[in-house]
Amino acid sequence: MNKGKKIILATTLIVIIIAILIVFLSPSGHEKRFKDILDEYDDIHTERLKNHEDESVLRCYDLEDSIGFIVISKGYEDEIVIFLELSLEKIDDVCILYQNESEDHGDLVTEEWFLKRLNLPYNKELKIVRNKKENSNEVIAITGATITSDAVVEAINECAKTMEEIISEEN
Amino acid sequence: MKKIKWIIIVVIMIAVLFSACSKDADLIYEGELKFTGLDKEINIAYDDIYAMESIKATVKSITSDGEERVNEVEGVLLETLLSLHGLSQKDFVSIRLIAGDGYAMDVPVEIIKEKDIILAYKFDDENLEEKKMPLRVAINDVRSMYYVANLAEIQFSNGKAEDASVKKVILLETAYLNLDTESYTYYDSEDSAILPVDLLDTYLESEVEKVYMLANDGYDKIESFDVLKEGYIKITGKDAPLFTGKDLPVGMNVKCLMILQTGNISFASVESAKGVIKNRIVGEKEGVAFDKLMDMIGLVGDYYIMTANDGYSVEVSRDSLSQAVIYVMEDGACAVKFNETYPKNTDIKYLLSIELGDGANSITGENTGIADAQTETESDSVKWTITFDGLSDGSFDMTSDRAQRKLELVELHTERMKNDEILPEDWKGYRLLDVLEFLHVDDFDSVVITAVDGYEVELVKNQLDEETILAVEKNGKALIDDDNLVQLIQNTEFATTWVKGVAKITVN
Repeated sequence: MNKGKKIILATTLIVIIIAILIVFLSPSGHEKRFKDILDEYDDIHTERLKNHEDESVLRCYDLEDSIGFIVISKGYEDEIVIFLELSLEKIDDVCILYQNESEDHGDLVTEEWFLKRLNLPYNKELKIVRNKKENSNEVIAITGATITSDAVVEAINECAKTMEEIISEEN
Repeated sequence: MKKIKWIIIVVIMIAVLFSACSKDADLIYEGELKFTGLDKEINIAYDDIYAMESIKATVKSITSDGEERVNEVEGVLLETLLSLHGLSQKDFVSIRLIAGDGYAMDVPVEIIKEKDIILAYKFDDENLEEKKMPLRVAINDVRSMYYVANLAEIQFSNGKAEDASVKKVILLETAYLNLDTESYTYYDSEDSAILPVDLLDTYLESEVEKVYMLANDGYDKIESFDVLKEGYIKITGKDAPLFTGKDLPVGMNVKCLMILQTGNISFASVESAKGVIKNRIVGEKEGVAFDKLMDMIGLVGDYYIMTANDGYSVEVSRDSLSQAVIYVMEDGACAVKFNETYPKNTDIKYLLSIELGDGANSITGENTGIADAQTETESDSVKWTITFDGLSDGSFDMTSDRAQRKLELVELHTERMKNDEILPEDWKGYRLLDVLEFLHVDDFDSVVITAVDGYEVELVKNQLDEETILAVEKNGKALIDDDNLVQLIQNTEFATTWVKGVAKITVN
């Protein structure tokens, strides 16, 4: 193989590797996109349980009597970033840190009356229902925003699983 | 040379790599658009539709907020697709557009016959966003609810249109009393709902395929029974009555439902109609004008039978409806009230239904209990006297007998405003100018009209015209109240110069 060919092959390889890096190995999009939010919470809560963090559970904080999570979930229009506080038995607090859902429907996800519906035990997987709740693990969706509501509930279920892992590790 | 070849290869590779990320890739969509309801189901691949010769058009739509939107769209005409199979959209009386998420919308026959239905894949030179792919319907000059995105199926129906004239109206607010309710969470409130299927089962004798719904903001749609039976009608709280569903997309909701019609039965919400029909006050009751409500619903006839929830019924004439209101009682059910000239038994609480009658048992006003047909010639037998003062030879008593013999009875139609409502009325009487001429009054400055209760109105000479009459009949009925046997009427917008119970006219 002559020198010219080698240069071309090397160039090709470099281009492909760079492209792969751009596409697959860029710093976590979530970390970058929501840096300000994450930094703010990192400043307040210093004790992180990093081994329980992943692409969706971005942060896992030990809050002594409870565990705090920053979790990301795909809504109808965009990603939703949620702060969750789980105690041993139930969901203590849900706070929407970022949302860009549709006006007059999905954006109601931040309303107190919806967030209050989420203060439930998490021993059973939560489930979204429409208009009428029949079981304790059911959450009535925001009218006209089922996908958004489901995104929040899925995020909670994800954190509940992580919480179970944390509890079993401690035991 | 070889070097150049390699460079070209590298450039192509880079181009391929980056083109994969490009948003402007050619339209491709896996799957087929289904045409159902035909003799044989037709499936057309979306990619085949994209490959067909397209049309471009400017379309205007009106959103649910009343906002007008104009878009440049590109796509294929439904008519073109149908013509490939020897069909035309004009062959059908109903076309139902169904989205992938279950949203469905019936296109009414007026649109089918008159407008192009475009299956668009570009809006304003942009490909549809992912969740609206593969096709979105566009029709010029219609509400945006017909712009069904993520189009998956088109259901055709060529069944003959039924005779949809209304024969009976059922008032929803009273009808609810006979149905079970369920709790229903709507946004942040806990409301009550009924099942439409219960409503139809209770009040209809036969099964229905489709229902027509009209909201009080003018939004209307045709819905299939299959959709209706999956739904709820929320009967309390915001937007009630609200047609909605457990698993229906929110776009299929109908807020402030006013009419739900199927076949010859129309369910009407008086509460919703309040926002559309101007209110009328009868006695102490304020509600919707009975006659206007019937006109809006399309229940038109000479006689109406009103039936209460307990089965009690009363028949009244069409004319009497202009003297009545339908109102919502404190407990939420409906009632009807007629003015004081009608017998008490025409006032019905818990009014459930209204249907056309034959007049056999019709009750009329004035507490006579006599059918309207028997009152036609009453004005001839009513006796009255008006004293004319200020004449050159003193005073003169104009009597009903003398007026009948010497003066021409004329007709006058008036449309006066009352409580922001136009009240059309037809009068018969004698021109005041004819009476003055009969009394040889050649010149005068004014006349003072005095009523039996002492009320006076002065009219100067130029206020008296050919349409100033001493009326003895109103809407085909004689004025028979002792305190109003003759009424001075002018064809004016407001009744400020009108005088009831004319007793004396003084010429100045």
